Amino acid sequence: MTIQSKVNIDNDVFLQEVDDETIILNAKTQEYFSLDEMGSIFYHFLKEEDDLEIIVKELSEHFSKDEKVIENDLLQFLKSLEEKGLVKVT
Amino acid sequence: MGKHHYAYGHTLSFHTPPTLKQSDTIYINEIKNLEKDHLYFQANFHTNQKRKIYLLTENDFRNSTSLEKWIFVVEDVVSFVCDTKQQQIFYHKDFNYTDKLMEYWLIHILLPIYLTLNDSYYFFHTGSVEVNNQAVLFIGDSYAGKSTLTDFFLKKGHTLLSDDKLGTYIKDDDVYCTPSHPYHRPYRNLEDLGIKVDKFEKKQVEVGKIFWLKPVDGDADVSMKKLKGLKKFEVLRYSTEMDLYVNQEERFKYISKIANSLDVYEIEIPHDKKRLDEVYNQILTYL
Repeated sequence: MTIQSKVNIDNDVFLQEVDDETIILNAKTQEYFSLDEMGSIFYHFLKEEDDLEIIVKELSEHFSKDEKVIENDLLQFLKSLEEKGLVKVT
Repeated sequence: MGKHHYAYGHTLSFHTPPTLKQSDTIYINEIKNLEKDHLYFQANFHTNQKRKIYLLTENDFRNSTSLEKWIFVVEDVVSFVCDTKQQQIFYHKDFNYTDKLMEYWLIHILLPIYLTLNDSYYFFHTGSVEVNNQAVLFIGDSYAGKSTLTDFFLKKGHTLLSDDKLGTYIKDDDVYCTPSHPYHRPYRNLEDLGIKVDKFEKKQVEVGKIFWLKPVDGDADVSMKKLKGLKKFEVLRYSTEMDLYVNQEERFKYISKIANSLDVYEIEIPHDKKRLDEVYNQILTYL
């Protein structure tokens, strides 16, 4: 997986907020997960945008953080989502 | 079986439906011929009351947004032919049929499935009583003490809302429930609705608080902890009466909305019936 990869959230994956936590349900496996604050932000961006470079740029500006740091965090996050079957990366 | 029953906010009529059906009535009628050859898909449930039970449908309904026509089969006892767009359920007798068994399966299992599939309610597996005009729900694992605690509240004079399954719905951002049926089973007998309770509420009641019962040693403290986020969601989802894999996104939204609207507490219940008064008083202080 690289920053040029395309990411698609599976149609059977649903997201809801409970209290201050974001919960993801994988309807295919019936598993659910909680995202931390950064994971939740990444996920909301991924719902709207499949170009990772654009996401990194926007988040880097928003948090005034180095693009490389954001990129590493995002790719690590995507890897964990991919392992859980929540996204498809091409 | 009597001609009329109350269950889950509906009147059950065993008369032939009139041309103009009452909106709060479900009509239950016998059919002699059961046509099921066109229903190719079978969804098995876990064995229940030592009976094999399953749904028969035309297609695999899992992950679809609705299911209208289906047959619920209690093997060798009775089959219920349902159309969730209609207010009518037909039953077909099998060789072990009795009126009492039909009543049990109809009220205890079939109607919650039917009212789930026609989007009337979201059912929780819970004991529930009325306290200060609000519904208090007791959820938890098997043998956590839901029925015991419900029974204790009834003995204290509270009104029964549900012994086992409670249908809930959201109206104007508040969560309400519809009382289930006036039977209470503080023991474990197969295919038995339980004892008829006089003090039973029929009107819709706003849901107050939910208590997740956690059994602990008999000499432990009665302690209370407010649940948040994923843990709160988990106990509610775990207490969902039936997840039929229909309309999953809407149901996920619904349970999340409930989680955001209500307080859910974990209460540690000592394994000692003599200390139920302590548990009772502790719950009242949180209402």
